[in-house]
Amino acid sequence: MVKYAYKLGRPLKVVTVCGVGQGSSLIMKMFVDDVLKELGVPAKVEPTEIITAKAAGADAIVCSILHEPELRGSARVVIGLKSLVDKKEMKEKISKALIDAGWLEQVA
Amino acid sequence: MLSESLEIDLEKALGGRVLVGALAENWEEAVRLAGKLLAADGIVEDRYVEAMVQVTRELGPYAVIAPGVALPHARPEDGAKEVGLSIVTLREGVNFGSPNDPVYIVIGFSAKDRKSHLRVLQELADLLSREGVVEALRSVKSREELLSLLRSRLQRST
Repeated sequence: MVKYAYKLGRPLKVVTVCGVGQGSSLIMKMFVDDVLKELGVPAKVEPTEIITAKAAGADAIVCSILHEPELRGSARVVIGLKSLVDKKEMKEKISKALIDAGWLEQVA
Repeated sequence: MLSESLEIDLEKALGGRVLVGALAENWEEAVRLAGKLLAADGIVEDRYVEAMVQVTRELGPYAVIAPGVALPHARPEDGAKEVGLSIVTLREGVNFGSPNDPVYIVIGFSAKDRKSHLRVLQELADLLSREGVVEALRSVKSREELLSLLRSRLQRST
């Protein structure tokens, strides 16, 4: 099992985003919570909708790939998902994005 | 948080509202079928059904949450009275303009606030994330078969 070290020095602020902010965004939050726990990343994950997400000042945004272009630039890391219930896709994309941002390092 | 007594589980939220092998011309019709099941049981007001279509139209095909599966819903203030689900399986897929098209499973959803449906969504997400479930839902031939499939796949949290 791959091990990671978290480098940011404070809990990661994440928003999961859907159109209304109470359906898909909640589903994503549950999986993102799991994935970040597995990666050893302390985080606060809030479900929300697009307008709020843009102004949330989050470190990372997790959303549908359909919303990704609109949200790009609203956080340092924006992760677009094809399936919102595929934990494997989420883990791959989240770990890669956090490593690219320099917030996560693979240690073993 | 998830053990709050006001939260109901998926099977209760579904309440047997299932339509198997339905025919829909397009995504709007498919969403209406799912919405009407909710309205027929008084889970939502009639206006919620069109709001589901409207919200999906306004916000784009985000409602398609996984390959072949849509979870259309409107806002609590659009006439949601209870937490509820309905499941419609389509004989032929419809396109929402999503990368996960075509959609064969439409899950209508209603929540009256931002909290009481957490457990239902969690169970639903957990169910849909398991391998083979979407294909199995798609291939059922009757309402009874679908309900028994759900029952067997839903792991009870103890």
